[in-house]
Amino acid sequence: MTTPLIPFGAQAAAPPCLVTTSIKGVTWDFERQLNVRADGTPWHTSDLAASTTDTNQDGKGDDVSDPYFAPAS
Amino acid sequence: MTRAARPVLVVAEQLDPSADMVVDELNQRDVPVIRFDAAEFPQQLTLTAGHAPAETGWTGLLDDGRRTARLEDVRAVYWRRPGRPVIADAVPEPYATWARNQADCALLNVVAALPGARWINNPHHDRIAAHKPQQLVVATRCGLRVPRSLITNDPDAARDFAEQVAGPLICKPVLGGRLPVDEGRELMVATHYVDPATFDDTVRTTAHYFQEAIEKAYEVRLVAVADRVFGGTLHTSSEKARTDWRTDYEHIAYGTVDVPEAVATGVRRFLAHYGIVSGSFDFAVTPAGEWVFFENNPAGTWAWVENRTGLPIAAAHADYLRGACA
Repeated sequence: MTTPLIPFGAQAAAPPCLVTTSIKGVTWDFERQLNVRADGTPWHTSDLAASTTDTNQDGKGDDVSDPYFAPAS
Repeated sequence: MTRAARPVLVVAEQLDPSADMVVDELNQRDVPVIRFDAAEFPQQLTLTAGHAPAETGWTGLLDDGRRTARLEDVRAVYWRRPGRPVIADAVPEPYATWARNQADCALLNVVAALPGARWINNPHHDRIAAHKPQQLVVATRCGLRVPRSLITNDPDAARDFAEQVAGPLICKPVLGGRLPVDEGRELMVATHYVDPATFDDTVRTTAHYFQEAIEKAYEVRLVAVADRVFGGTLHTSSEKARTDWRTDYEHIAYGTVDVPEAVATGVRRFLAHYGIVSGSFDFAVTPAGEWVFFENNPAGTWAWVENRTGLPIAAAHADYLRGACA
């Protein structure tokens, strides 16, 4: 049986640092077509987590899950 | 629908603050918007498109149940990492996968073929523009400096490169991606320093991307929209954040910087090369003040840059989408 080899670059793999923005009390405003807080102000005006790896702020990390992003083909 | 009422399609996930910001700006400009996630198609979104034998362009309707857009009236499209179409549970596999692929291809490509519509960004162009090895070539052609770089699966070549650099080396993925090592636990490979003494046969297992480590006074997320460029700075205060700021958000202070004209010109050429309008570029600025290009994320995040700095990035998107700027 072949000894498993972990690629050199992948030996530094670590849990991603995911930061999220609270969506507590946030609802969808059908008229304005954006997310609002309970007081009606747009959610985007609250403090946003500075994540580059979590487009929809769900904490799952989606920088590589976008279907149009980056398959090499 | 009059020309003034021509809508902008915003295609994004619902909890995407960048899309929220752009929609907010379009609302303030009284530009009609139809926002949806591709994941809503075909269950909540109805598409009917026809093509005549001799006249160019799809005509028809896109209806989300509340709003309807005539395809021929669409003024612009903001396509920002939407989800993939979701097929009804009643459709079993393999028909569900087949149906999803049909829906996916139809929605994107009918919309992508709308004549005259402005795009940020056409995902067909994004797909090509997203790859780092090509980006280095284009960036240098556009007058931007990049780190000395090596892509190899040969450990001897990696050692030779280390000797040439004669300084700190980093390794980064050629392509982003998660490592699902256990169920429910995914790892990420960030930019990390490497010791050439550790180069071994595991380098041979795949392509590896090595670069000279660039000494950083600070880093910049430069967001470009059409001919406008916005410089958001990141001043880091930990070794982790200095190496790859995505790994330690707690030790970053945010600010702004004026983008040097030579860099702005290079970025505009870069966008033009790929036929894209917007990009989230990563630069390091050396202690000597030289800007070094790392990469461009064509559909990258920027909401946090505006949120923390007040740079009017969403307004620039809205101006472009409504046709108020070149």
